[in-house]
Amino acid sequence: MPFRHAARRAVATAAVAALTVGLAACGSGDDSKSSAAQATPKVNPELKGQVTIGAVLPLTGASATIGKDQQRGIELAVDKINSGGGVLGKKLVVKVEDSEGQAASAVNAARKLVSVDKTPVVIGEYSSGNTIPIGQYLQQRKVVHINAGSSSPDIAKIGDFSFSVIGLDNIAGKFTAEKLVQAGYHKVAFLAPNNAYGTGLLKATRAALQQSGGQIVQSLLYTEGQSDYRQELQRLKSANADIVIYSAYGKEAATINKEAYQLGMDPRKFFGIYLTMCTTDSDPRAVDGQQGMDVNYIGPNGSAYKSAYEAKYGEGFRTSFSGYTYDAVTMAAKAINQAGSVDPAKIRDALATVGKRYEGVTGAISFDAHNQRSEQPYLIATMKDGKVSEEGEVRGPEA
Amino acid sequence: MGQVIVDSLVRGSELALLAVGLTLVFGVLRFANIAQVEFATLGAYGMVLVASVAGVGILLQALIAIVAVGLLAVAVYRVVFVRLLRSSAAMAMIGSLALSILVRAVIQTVTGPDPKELDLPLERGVDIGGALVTPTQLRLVAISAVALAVLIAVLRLTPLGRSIRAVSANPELAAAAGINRKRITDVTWFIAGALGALAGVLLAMDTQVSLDMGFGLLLPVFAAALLGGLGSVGGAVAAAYLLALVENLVLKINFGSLVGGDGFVPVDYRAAVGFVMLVVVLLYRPQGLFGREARRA
Repeated sequence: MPFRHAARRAVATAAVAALTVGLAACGSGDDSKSSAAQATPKVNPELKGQVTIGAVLPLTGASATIGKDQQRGIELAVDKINSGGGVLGKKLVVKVEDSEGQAASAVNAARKLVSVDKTPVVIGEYSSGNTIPIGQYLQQRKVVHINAGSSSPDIAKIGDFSFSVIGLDNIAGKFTAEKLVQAGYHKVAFLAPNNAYGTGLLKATRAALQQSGGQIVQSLLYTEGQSDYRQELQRLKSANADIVIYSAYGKEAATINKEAYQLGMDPRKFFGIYLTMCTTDSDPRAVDGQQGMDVNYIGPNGSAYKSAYEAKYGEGFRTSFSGYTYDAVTMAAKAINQAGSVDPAKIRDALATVGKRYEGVTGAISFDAHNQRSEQPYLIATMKDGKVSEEGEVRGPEA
Repeated sequence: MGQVIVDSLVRGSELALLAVGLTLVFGVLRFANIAQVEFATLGAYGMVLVASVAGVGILLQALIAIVAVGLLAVAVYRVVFVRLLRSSAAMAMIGSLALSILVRAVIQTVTGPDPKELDLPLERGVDIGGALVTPTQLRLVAISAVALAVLIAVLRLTPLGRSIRAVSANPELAAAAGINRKRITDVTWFIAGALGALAGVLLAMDTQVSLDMGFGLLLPVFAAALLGGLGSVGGAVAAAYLLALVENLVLKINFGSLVGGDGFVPVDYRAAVGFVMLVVVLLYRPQGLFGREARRA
């Protein structure tokens, strides 16, 4: 019967169409509504032409919330520079590419910036597992790399074109271990992603804990991108540690925190390394009372930056990482001005000079022999009703 | 031990729904559809989508997603697999792998790679015999048990079910007896798609919605379908729960204590459990644990 046949085909076509259209609608749901800028300073009209540098950030994927916040830091730096003298008398443009939170896409993005846009400087990424391959690629191509969000100690080994404006985990691990042992936590369980960041962090934390008189009784490195972390959590639970030190990317941390809550684990017995990263996407109730450490949002000279951020985006700092991309851009701009050219080798030399002593919004930045930030101020914080509240010291086990 | 049983029931329910779809399609068409696991992914994203455009209750959201994926499965069969099956079953299987990759690529292009969460309240697990289980997980186990029971009842007791089993057992004879094979195949694809989508919806309610949620289950789902004896629905269900139980036991047992220390199998090795079971069963019982006849594929 031709009529029935046609009708069925129509149903099938409609189903395909409905799903396609539908999926398209899915995508447009969660985009940030805050980009309607209200308080952008005017671009200096005397700037002629433009200088372009690049950035590779996780605008989508598990770290998307942080990547978008990193992008805000860049936007604010560009506003600031272009409302003043610009770079080499020209307008500064930062071309931001999405890494999708994956190493392969991150390297592709860096490749595009270098070969198509010819950027002499590339800032990025967030996850060490992506930052290291980008850095290595940029090192090969002799393009300046500035790390503004990753902390694996392996980043120091990339090469002479690679700089870090954020402290690496050998410093972070030491800070965490000392604070926890001081507060009375000795038996520690550990959870982090199984990548360059997690393994580096585990090594650094274990060494520092041993020195301060604590120990890791159970360590787990989880595979990224799972939909379920119950097995890992049950092992942490049965380890009977004084506290669980963990670190996980935004959306993965959301699942981990949710499932820990379901399994009856106490959020107060969790300590997040880079706490804002661990809690930004999590249900506030699942992380209430959770403690953690984080990089300082801003340093002593950061109050103007803070007000600019609040004025432009109409909210307080989303994560602790935007100031670091801000400093990366302003330092790059200063280095380009000092070099008087956009030649990457000249910028590299100038950046090393600038980094002898730079007053950034995240505090004083001075590079060590490997061009890595040598001092990094950290803070201790607790989650209260979905807000990060800064604390002087770690709360002890009895409190 | 209680926790092992709870975890196994949750995991087994998800695997069973997908393995049954795989085995049903195999029964009727004699080819293993790798894209079966993507029906779960599509079901979950479908639900996210319905939730974002229509202000309907969660039950209706799930139902719309499940029916849509069922219809999509029929469409995919008509458009892609009818043609591929004309050349060979191997061609169709390779095609289904390609389709599986394509599905994820399309979803990623459209929605981005961010994992998504359904808007459900946070739950504390309740203590049942020393095991913690959330209300959502209880629902998950119950819903999938009901769905599987209904399916088995339909296959055993209704004329439609008899026709599906007849085509499965002997397509030529079924055709000679006047059974419309095309119609039966359509119905089978719809069931496979809908069950897959149901698995995805349940998984999404329990954990989250991500691109690899279906593909990550490929190995255990295939293992369960093969262990149960391809084409056998009851076998696939039993094998799915058995596999889940073995997986959880392997992860929970402290093997190190045998030699007086601590030594657990890393959680990442979960997929290897199904693989090892599969290899052993294929070596010693190629028709599957519950298969009655010799392998016919």
